[in-house]
Amino acid sequence: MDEDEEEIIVPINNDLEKKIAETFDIFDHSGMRTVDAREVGTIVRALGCCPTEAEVQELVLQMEDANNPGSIHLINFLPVIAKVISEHKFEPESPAKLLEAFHILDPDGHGYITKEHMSTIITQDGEPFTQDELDEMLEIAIDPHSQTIPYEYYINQLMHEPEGEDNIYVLGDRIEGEKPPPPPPPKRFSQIFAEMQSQL
Amino acid sequence: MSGTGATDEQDSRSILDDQRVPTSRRRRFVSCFKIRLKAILMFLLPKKIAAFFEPKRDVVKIESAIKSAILIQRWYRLHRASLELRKRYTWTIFQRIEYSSEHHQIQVYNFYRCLLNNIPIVKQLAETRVENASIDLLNMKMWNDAEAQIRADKKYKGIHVNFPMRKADLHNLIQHFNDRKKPKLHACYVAKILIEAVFHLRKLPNINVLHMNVSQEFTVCGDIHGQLDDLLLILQKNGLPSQENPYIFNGDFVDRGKCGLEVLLILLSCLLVFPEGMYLNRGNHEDLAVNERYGFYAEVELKYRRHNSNLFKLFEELYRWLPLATVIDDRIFVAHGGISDRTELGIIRNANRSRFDSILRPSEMSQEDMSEEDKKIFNDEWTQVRDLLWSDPASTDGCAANKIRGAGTFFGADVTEEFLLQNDFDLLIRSHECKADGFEITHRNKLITIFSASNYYSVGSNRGAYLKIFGSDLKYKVVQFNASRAKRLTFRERIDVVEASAIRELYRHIEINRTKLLVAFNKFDPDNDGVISLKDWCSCMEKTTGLSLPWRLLREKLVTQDERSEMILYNSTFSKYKYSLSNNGEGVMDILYDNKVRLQKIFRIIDKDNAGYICLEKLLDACNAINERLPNAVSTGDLDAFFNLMDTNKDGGIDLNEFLETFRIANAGSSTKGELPEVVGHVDLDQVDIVESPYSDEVEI
Repeated sequence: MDEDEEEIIVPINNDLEKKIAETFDIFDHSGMRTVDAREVGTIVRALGCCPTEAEVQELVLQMEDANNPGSIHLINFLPVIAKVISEHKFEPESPAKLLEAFHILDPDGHGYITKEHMSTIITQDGEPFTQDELDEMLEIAIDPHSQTIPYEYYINQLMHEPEGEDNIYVLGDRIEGEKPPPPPPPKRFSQIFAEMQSQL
Repeated sequence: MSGTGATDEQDSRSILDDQRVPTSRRRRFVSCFKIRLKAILMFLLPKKIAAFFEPKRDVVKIESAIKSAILIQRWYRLHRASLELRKRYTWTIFQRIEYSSEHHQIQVYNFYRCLLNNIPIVKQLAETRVENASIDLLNMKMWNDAEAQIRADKKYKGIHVNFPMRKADLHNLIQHFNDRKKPKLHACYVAKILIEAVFHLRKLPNINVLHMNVSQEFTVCGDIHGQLDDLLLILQKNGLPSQENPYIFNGDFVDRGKCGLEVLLILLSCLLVFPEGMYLNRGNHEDLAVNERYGFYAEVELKYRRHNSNLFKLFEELYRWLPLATVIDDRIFVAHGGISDRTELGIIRNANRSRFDSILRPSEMSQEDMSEEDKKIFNDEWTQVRDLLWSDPASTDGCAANKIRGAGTFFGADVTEEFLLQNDFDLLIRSHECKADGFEITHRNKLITIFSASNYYSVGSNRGAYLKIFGSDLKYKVVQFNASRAKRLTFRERIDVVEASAIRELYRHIEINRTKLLVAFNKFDPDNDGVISLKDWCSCMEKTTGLSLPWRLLREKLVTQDERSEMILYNSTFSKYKYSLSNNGEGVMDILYDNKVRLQKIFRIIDKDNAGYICLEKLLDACNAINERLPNAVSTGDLDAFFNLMDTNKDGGIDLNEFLETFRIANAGSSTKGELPEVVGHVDLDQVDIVESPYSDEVEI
């Protein structure tokens, strides 16, 4: 047995990285700072990013380690996600856009969508839900009397607008702002020569 | 920050953009023409012509419907992830508190056992050890006499148990326990069931062997932890054990739940009545050292005050003889904790399992007259047993020491596969860890965790489950259940309820550490403003409580933060605490045990001159005495740290309360120095209102 297994030390430099690491650690069962690759989507979303399933798969590909398939270490996870946040990728849409989306599914403007219609769309189109996801969604979305989904009310249930630095992108901006400006690019010889000349 | 302003970028998610436009010239011309024609016709004959053009609009409609779906799905998954996060850290809170207590327990217990085993006078005073397994020590005669008296006594309204036990006795017993209003079973019957069980278990090998040729199916149950409701539910749903319906109970029958004794007695009775139908594996909680802390000890003391010390001798004997694992059809291996990369069934099969009265610190450990060879054999066997009963599976490959529990290992999928390959097995079944669904299948489908205590951490925290295996190709099926009568909650409601429960446990844990925490906070607040930075607060909390938790995430629930300066008002850490005395033992963390008599004796011995407190010097003397008999048992380096840990008010001396507090008990209501935190979860037995049957343990022995 490895009594002295090498524990990879992950440097944490700023508050953004701390938050990412802390959330990551919650999904780490073994204490070795690794998570199951299938949980990457949940972790990224728990931080506040809103990628599609396809985008999650791309992220996983970037973080994978050939020696340990199926398992992602924090040292690979951290830089990829820090970059995602500083680049403002996968930001969640505004609730207004979500309302628009529901309006499209309800062209006649009833104000609700039937359970059957929603179930059909959500399990067949786009990035389909599993039966479990559907059941959970319907638990809160369905109005028990009419057996329909009054979507404006439902959107309020899903509302998740974190403020200040609870919003990871705001935190990311602050960290970016705190970073020292990059050093000026090394001068080319011609430039130096030109400068010398101008000084003469 | 919403998506406004981002519509021009590539990642734009506006569902109304990027409608595909035909690009070739001819198509453009045609489409332009069509549009103009359409416009004219619409003007002249609106409805009919409009209908002609419907199909094309439909295509666009479908596309945008799909995009809507994707958006809704993304949003839902975002929301769901935040719920999942809460669920996970709630779980982490429960687990960390549970395991850190276990770990702390192990460290402290090592020291305690050391004292017990090595200070000669203490050894005499201590009543725990059972030297040999002889009938005399089991006090057969005493119990038989007691039974004779009970049978003659008309006042006893409880049931009588006949030996050898038959089906009718088993049914009687279950009925009796099911009805909580019935009077207590007399201690002599408890003892006799235990004794009969010991006789039976002694004949069994270290690893049970089960074959499926007679029965075509069998059931594996995980931890029960004294939750009688769950056991009765299983037996009701799945039938009593028999040769046709065999069961394996995979350890941890007692501790935490309030009916450990009833659970154990039912299981043992099943074993006696249907020996071919019941297979028991030892769990890490089948250990008096662990029982002392996690509730079973207190439960028995409460229920059988007069006889408990004799009963404990019997429990110790029972635990020693419980088999360590079970093999089904030479293909499935069942053990309580798991394995390690050094697990060797050869060693386990040949070991003398009865030498492990306690697995945490077996008494044989301190024997100095063992030869080098014997010592090696002992250590090998002890390691094997610990690995089997304490290990947890990990999601990464490899094998590492289980630092969270303090015993056993973390073993990866590769270790599982190697073990199965080496021993020609197909599947590994284990328990030991609570799972939200009552079960979990991991390690590329080679490992199943099965846990049968529903609502373990709190009402709504998890389901229980049992495993049914059937057929010659060993197919399996999981049956889940929930013994709670609470109404059906939605996913989010359940998370709210369980989270609240976890936070309550955390408050308790924080309160226990109040003095130490204030000391730590003050270090970072030299000006005494009452505020420290978030970073400092997190580090204090983690270091002092010893719990590795997401403190930043949890801070809102635990403490007040100044909005502008973002500094933490650390005194508010304690104001959020509301401990209600009416919460009597509902939580799993209620550590009810009362070992103070024993520890008081030890304290008095160390405090040679009866000053009422132990200074570092006296503690050193005591440890030197131990070290004389067992070299290097306690290092003086550790001692300083240990002393500081115990001296909570830092006055240079450890008084009795501080001494007891270290072992997680205190004299409720007799705190000599007011600053000591009130230890929660302690039950002062003299003050507890017990409804006793008119006939209690009045028999004079």
